[in-house]
Amino acid sequence: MTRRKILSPVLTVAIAFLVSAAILGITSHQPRETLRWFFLGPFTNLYFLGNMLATSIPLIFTGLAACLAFSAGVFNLGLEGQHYFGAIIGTIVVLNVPTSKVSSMVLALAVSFLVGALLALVPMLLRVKLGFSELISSFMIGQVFIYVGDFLLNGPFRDPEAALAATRYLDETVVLAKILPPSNLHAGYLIAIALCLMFAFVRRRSVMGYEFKMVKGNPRFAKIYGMNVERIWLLAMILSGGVAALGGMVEILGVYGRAVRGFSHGNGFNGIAVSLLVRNDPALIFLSALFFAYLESGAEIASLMVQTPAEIVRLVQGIVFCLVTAEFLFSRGERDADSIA
Amino acid sequence: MRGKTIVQLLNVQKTFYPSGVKALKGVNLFLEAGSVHALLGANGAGKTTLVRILAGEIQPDAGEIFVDGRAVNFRTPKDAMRQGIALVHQNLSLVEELTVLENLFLGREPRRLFFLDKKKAERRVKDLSERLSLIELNKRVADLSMAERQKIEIVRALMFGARVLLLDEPTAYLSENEEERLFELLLGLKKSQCAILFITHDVNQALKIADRVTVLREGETVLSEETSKLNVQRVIEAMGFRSSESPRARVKIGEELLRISDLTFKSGKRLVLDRVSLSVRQGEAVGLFGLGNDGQFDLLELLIGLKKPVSGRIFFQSRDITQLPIRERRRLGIAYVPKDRLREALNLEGSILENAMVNVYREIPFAKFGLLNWTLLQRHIHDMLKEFQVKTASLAQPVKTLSGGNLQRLILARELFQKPKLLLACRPTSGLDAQVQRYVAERLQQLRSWGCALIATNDAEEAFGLCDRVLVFSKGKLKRILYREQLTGPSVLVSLVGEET
Repeated sequence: MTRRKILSPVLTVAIAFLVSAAILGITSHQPRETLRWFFLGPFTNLYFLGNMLATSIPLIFTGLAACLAFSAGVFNLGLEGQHYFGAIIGTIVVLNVPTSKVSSMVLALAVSFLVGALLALVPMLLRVKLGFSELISSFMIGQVFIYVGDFLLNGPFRDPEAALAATRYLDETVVLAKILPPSNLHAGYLIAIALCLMFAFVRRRSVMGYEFKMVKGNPRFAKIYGMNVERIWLLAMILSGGVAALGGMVEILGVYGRAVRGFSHGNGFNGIAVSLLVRNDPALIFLSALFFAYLESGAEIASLMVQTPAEIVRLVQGIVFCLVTAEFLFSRGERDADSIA
Repeated sequence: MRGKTIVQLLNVQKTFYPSGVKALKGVNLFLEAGSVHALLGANGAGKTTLVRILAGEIQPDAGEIFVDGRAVNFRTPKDAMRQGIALVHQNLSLVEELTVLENLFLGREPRRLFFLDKKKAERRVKDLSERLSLIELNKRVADLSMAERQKIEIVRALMFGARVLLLDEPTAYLSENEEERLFELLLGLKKSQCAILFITHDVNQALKIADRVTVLREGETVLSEETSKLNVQRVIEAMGFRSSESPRARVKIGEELLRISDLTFKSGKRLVLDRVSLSVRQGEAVGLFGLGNDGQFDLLELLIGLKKPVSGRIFFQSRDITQLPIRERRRLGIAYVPKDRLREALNLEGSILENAMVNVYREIPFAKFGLLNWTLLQRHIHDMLKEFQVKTASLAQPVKTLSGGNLQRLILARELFQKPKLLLACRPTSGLDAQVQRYVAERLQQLRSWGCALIATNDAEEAFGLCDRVLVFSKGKLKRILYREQLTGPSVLVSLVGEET
């Protein structure tokens, strides 16, 4: 059982590598060079390595966010909207409220957390009060707010001097400290990992972690034995949405310095796969986020060095996504078959 | 009348991993057309495992299965179904959101010429359902009783040409009336040359309707004989029980613990409980009896706080608890054993420890500053399970590795170890063998020296065996109260239900 638990993600990853190699081999004019840059590029120098780690930061946040919801047996498919919109509002508030350096950082994080939490709370309230599926409503509400965010960036809060839809730059002092310059790696990495480890600890050792697990396993059971199931679901969603938005804000504070239209490019959705790849184990999320970031960085480097179209990389990522989902479903069925009546 | 052998099992063995439990150590069995075969055994003897193998749900490690004299190897339930072998589950497997008709076709919709086949099938359903006095086909399964659901399962199997029916404890959820009707149905099926294997705990029942009885004990066939050559004593001995009377000593009756006044409950428009009032004192074990779902189970759910009454009040130790949430009620000393053991009383994805600690985990010293002290919890649960004789290899194992009897011990231990003042229990002895039943009775007896119990059931025997006062319910109304002197036997209860008072 344990051996299979380790072996099956490894196998998934191996297949993903083989498939991506095959596709690149077929589509590229210089397959050998492309493959070399794709697989080894991120490790050739500290700059590439730092950028790869930086790419994994928002994925750790959204992966953790997905994991938080899964841990209590609910689904948050609105991660993308929460990630994107929460960060945009955080940025706008800080741009328009004069404060000192430290407090504006805290303000930005707090506001984005609250906005993300709110976007996730609404669908869960709909489920608890009216019985709507949170899976669908969280997705739809999330999607709506992506466009609301686009509107804010393109309309009222657009920097007239910018060539693209984006806000003004935040004050230069309101940024997260860089690690390993000139790469993009910043202190957000440490925040992300700290949050993951914190949740891993909470799951294993705390009353809340136990209640999450029982509610996930059998909500009826949890209710009969005195747990406030609805409150636990709401809490899980609030934390999930908040952490997703926090990831967006950290990305802006650490990399962009302002909210740019489309900056989240799929981090929210990828978060779900990031969490599933390690079977929702928060202590391992940074690894699967790194794997996703590795694929992305390798692709970027390859296209930079050998001109491989970026679309091919998205294709490869899509394939990994499918494999991960399939593996998840497969292991589900297996668990059921083990039972003794 | 007796037909040829359809199914034969030779030396079938099965070990479960990772627990290493040897469920079957070598079982032999044969099923003949046109006969009823009863499979008996204590909890954990391997009965359920055996029928699951026959139905293709799990594969044996060793041994052979023959159908019509040919060796077969079932990899999936579909393989078994193709040979006409169908299993009717103990924990019924219908989809609650769908209607009866939809359930009947579920997963086996005719693939070719759908509409023609459907017509034929509908006629077939109708023939069968008349024999079964089946409910309307368009009713949602969620609204049906256990007995009705079971009938649908049987019809479903027959519709698709089953000639060997495996019934896993078909009578566990049935009232006596429903039981009788089920037996009539089985006798009818027997005439049409079906082979029927049914699992039961009840020796009398087995001898009454079976043509042949096989007894399993610790995964081995210890007895397989024509019913005519058997008597109750021999079968009970083979199962490994000593016969004894259930203990029922006089207890001193103390102060009033629970009082309910004019409690009314509705589910949608349906009146489930109609102005029920009652009072329970310390030392009492009070039965709430109805033939089916007559509101007795809903009453307990109202008392623990799972449902909210439309009107009426609940007082516990003179305190109005009508509006208190479940957790608060439990903290006052009210314990609850739900009706559905697997779906309500356990988290099957969790470990034994996680399931056993659910009533204590948030109390000091087990939880401090929101953190759990696993070492203390483990020690506490270990002591608890030891005192209540729950046999486990390790607390970290999944709870579903425990046998049915051990699960019920665990569920009771969890409540009684807290020394509750009021125990609310739904069918505490249903589906258990005599040994575990006696165990439950003893524990309830102990409880009465410091608290009281309310036991909801649709099994007259259970109400008679465990309680010294029985309230008889019919369609949500409290019809009659029977005191100890009037409780001469289970049949008294059943005969009273129809009467007006």
